[in-house]
Amino acid sequence: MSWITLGLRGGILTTRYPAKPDEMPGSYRGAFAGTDASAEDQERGAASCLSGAIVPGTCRATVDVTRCFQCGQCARTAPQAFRASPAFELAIAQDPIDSVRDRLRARARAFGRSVHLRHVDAGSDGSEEQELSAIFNPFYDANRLGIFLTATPRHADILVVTGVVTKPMRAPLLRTYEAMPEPKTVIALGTSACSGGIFAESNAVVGPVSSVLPVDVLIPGAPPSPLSILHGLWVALDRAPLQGASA
Amino acid sequence: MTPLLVAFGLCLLGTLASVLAPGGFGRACGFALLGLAGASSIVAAANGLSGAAQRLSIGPTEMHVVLRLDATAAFFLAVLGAVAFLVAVFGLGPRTADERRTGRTASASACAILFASLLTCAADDVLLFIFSWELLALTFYWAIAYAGTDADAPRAAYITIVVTHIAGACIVAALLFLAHAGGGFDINSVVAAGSGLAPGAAGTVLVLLLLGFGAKFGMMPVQGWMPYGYRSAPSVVTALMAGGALNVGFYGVTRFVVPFPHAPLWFAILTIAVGALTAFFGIAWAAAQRDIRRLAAFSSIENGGIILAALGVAIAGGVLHDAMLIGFAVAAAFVQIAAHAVAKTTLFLSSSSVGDACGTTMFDKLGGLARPMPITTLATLLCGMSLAALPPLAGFVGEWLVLESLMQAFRTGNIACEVAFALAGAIIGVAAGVAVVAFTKLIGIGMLGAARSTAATQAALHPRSAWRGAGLVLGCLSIIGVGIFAAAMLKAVAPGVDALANARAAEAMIGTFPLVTPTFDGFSSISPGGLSIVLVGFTLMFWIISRLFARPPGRSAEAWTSGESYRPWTQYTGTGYANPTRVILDAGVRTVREIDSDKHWYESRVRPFFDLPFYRSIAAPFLRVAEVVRSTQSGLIAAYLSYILAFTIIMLILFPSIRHW
Amino acid sequence: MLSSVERALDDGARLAWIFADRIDGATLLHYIVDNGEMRDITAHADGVVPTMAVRAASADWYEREISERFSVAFAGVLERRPLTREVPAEQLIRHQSPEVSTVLYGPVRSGIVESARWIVETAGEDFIDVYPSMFFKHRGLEERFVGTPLDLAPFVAEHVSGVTASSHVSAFCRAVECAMGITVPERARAARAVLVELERIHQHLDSLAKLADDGSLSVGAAATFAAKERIHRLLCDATGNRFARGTICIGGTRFDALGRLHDVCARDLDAAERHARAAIDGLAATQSLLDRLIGTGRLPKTTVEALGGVGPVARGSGVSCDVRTRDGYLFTPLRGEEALERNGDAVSRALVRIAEIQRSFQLVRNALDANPQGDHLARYDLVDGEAIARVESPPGELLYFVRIANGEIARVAIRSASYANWPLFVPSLPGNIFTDFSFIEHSFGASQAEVDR
Repeated sequence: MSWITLGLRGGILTTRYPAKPDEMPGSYRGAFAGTDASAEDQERGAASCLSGAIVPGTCRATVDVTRCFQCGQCARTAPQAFRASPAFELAIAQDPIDSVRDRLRARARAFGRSVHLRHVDAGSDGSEEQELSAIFNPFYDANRLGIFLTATPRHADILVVTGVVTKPMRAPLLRTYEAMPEPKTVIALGTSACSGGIFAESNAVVGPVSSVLPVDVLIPGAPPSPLSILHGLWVALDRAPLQGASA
Repeated sequence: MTPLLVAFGLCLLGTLASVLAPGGFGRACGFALLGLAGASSIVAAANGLSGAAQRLSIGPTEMHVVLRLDATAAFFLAVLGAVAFLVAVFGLGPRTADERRTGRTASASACAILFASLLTCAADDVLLFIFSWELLALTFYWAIAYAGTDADAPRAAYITIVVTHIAGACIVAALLFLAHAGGGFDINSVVAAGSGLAPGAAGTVLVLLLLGFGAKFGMMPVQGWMPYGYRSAPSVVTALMAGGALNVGFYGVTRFVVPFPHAPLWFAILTIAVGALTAFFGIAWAAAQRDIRRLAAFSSIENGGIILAALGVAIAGGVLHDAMLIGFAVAAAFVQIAAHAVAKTTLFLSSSSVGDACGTTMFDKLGGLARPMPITTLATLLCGMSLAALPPLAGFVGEWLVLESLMQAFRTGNIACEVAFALAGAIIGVAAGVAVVAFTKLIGIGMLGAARSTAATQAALHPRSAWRGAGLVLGCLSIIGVGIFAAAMLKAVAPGVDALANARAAEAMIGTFPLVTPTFDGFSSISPGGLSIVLVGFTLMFWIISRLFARPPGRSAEAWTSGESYRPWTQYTGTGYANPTRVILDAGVRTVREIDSDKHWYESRVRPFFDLPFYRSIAAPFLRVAEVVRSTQSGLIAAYLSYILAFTIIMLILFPSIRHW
Repeated sequence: MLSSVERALDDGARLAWIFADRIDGATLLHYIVDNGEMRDITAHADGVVPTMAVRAASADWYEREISERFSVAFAGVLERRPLTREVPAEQLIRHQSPEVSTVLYGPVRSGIVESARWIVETAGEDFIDVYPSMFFKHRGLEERFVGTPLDLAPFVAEHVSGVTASSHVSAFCRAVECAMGITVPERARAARAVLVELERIHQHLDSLAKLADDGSLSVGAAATFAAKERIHRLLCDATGNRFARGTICIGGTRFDALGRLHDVCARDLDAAERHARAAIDGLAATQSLLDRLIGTGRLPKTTVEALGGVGPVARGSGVSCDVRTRDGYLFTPLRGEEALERNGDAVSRALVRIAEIQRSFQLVRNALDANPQGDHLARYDLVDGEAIARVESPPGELLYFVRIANGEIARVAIRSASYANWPLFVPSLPGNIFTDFSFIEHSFGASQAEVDR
């Protein structure tokens, strides 16, 4: 009985996203953008980036969103050159974007109104898994969007891979991909999965997921918040506009 | 009568030919003659069912041999003949591995067993009956000891002969007592003698008869020899033993126990109870076995229990003077006997085929046999389905009829009977469920999946044999046939049933062909033929629809094992599959599991509680007596002559006093 | 050298850790023994080193990893199967009898779980032999630290285990601060304490929610995950990251975290605690869930002590091992308040976690009420040195070793609580059936990332 009263007292917690917009708290370190600044400021910011996401430019530096693990060090050491924003809709497509968009469109028609996710941990730090599980908690409730989790790759439509791909996990990841029937979509979840993050140069890893599998949608973040994950899934289902890395 | 005599002659000839003629030719002769003997006994059975009973007396009046062929015996002759024919067709294939290993041929003992079984069913004289019963026991011993397959054979033969001898002793005692009471040695007067007995004596005689006949078909508590015997006998002969000779036990019950006049009610209830418990424990032990042949042996025990329960209902019908009940129960027992006979024979034949191809019949080493041995797999599948009582096969019709007979409790009007019937029905129902587990294990682990060991992968190399394939296919056809044409079969054996019941019970069971109803109007009915048409038809329809609307062919990929590549040793083992069943039934199915941590070895064994410790404790006093007696066997002629002299003197003194009693 | 280790063990110390360091081409072994206070006994690895595993069973995993990663030969090691090397599963199976089938559980398992492989030998539904075949997720974290600038190195520590990032980065920073003699201002220490305790709350709630999920108590699991979500939102509001990453650095915190936490908690902490308590009370009152947990995965106290277990797993069996009672590294020492249970099964561990959640809320309030003023970051000079620091992370005692040489990080060694506890998993399995596996696994509450690093 106490569960019922607990639920009634709690009220409706679920966000209306993506039907209605939602936002992260103002202090959330979501995305970083370069602003017009001097070259030394840009260099100082670039030197403070452990994953090498910052490339200084002529007026402003560019931040590679797939490498940025949201530490905020660039904005702290060179506030004139970098600005943080609580944006969470960070999912992008692997280039070339047009073919990805077409493939996603075709698959979205095949998937219908509900999809099943199969998750594989290729070498994450554990936080992406907890955030991916969080999309099924009452605050986000991915089930209401037709997104479900499945234990077997045979029933899966979308393969969500977290973490940089370590050497021992390369073959199991490939086998999971092979075990899934067409049509299937691959999502790389988390900065390490998108680009390797701070491990890109490590010799214990193979590389980002794209070095092993054809990735369709990249969801950066360390870890990506549940709203980012929902946005990324919505992009994969062709329900939200797709952006490329250069956007 | 002539076909029956021809059958006897052919059997004897077959035995001689197998033993005397050289190697392969002798074996082929033996099996060919076995097949012909089987065919002619079927013809004899047809004769017996169509006309009145025939008797043949051979020899002078004082020492004559009387053979009788009547409708009841005819059914059993038909079953024996059919089983022998199947075994013969299979046996004409190449030598089996055990025959090659021991160098001895199986056809000799097969012909001998058939001879003894036919003789038992045809004997009209109690002494001939006893003689042929003992002969049957001896042929079993010969089969196991002479041509037995493995190192356990001597011990298995010893257990077999001891248990069947003790059972035989019970029969001898009972029959001779009845003969003395009835004043004659022919079977009619022996059976009628029961009416003049005191209740205590009648009860004792009946129990002795039940124990004696029960040993042949695996009734508890005298079932312990069957797994050993069936495992060690040459595989082709086991088929004949389990499918054919086993029914001689039922013949004995049908001939002597069912028509026993004024049987006490408690005996009927005892029979039903023992039958139900045998069925349950038999299949519970079967589910935990690791070897195909032992599983099949325990399944025979289970079926023995079911048939015994049906015969118990017939006995109860006799006590309560309900002729229709007797008839229906006997008909149910007959159908189940026929179903079990063909299914068990084919199962042992296919296990012989598997053992030959893979060198082993242990489940945990098999698997992946469906592609290399399709006919054997199909045969095993049909046997398993039939023994697990799945429609539309023979076993389904048989068990359905038996359960229906147990549901007639309300007609008995006796509380004890009703409770016994109901409990027995429930227990047999549970046994049927566990049978599904046991046979799914047999087929799923033994035949399907991927090969679990190199032994199983060798199956692809084994040579095909047309005779063996033909034998197995005939077996499959008979399983399906007995199922679908159950009504026709009932019609054919109706005279035998009606003779026992003294009522037209079997006739009443056949509704508008091909419907089978349990004798009593409006109770329930099924049409096995119709059921098979519907089931097969639906399956075919779904297959056609799926083919018509199939999407483009998919891609085949490796089996999914958590991201690892597929390995056969990740498959379930037989022990693993049956483990939950074993755990639940642990009170009755005591399993001993040994884990050796140093050598990393795991082994489990089933120890049925009616097993060697039980037999040992019973045999202990006898062995002690035997030790004492052995001391008198000094080997000196003088001693034996003095024994004879002493015995003659004692008899001369005592004989007059005995006469006065 | 090793005799002093044995003498310490004879005096009743526990062997907490063995790790190796390579200086100028020579391999140095560090044996960490704990007798109330931690001592570091070093020994050169010349030739073949005798194994400590006979004296202290907890040495097994440490020695095998050292022998595989640093090529040190240990004499007398009983377990021949490799720990960190990738080998085909055939070489890891022990039983050859045909009745035993082997389940390869992993590395890709069902649900959203981290990758690890278990070789489970079974004859049906029971466990005959289980071998944890891990280190599929080895990313080379310890090597990644080497050469990283000190202001950026804490980010690497946060990558070791993202879910217990605050504990890892606290331990790393504390080790560096000890090595370089930096005094952290009280305000920063209070902030670190609050973050570590809030992390303990959300990870313990995660473990309890997963237990409820395993028991198919969907409503209870949803309520507990919702309670966990509230903590994450609180942290995100206060620090800019749902796991409070990017907050703790060497010398203190990167911004005035305590101030932000003070404001946010004044608003949200009461509601979060209320909801957490309601969810936990609901779980503890659900008999069907408790039935699955009582008696499951039992670990006797002697086994835990012999294998050197830490954290709620050890406290569930009655072994006292809370780092917070030993030293006041963080702001509020936790004296005599350790939550101990006796039975050593999954319920005991859950009860320990429940008690710790309640205690953690209290500690957070204590720290925020105290609200020490002052700087949140201390300046420091780069000096060479080495030190070991320990923190009570949610799964248990976490040890970090940092050696700074020539102004750079030369070696970081990490012994996480999950690493110390995994050897306890296999002894807890016999007597249970397959469906109990995930209950026992979630009652351990371990993180694979910090084991494989």
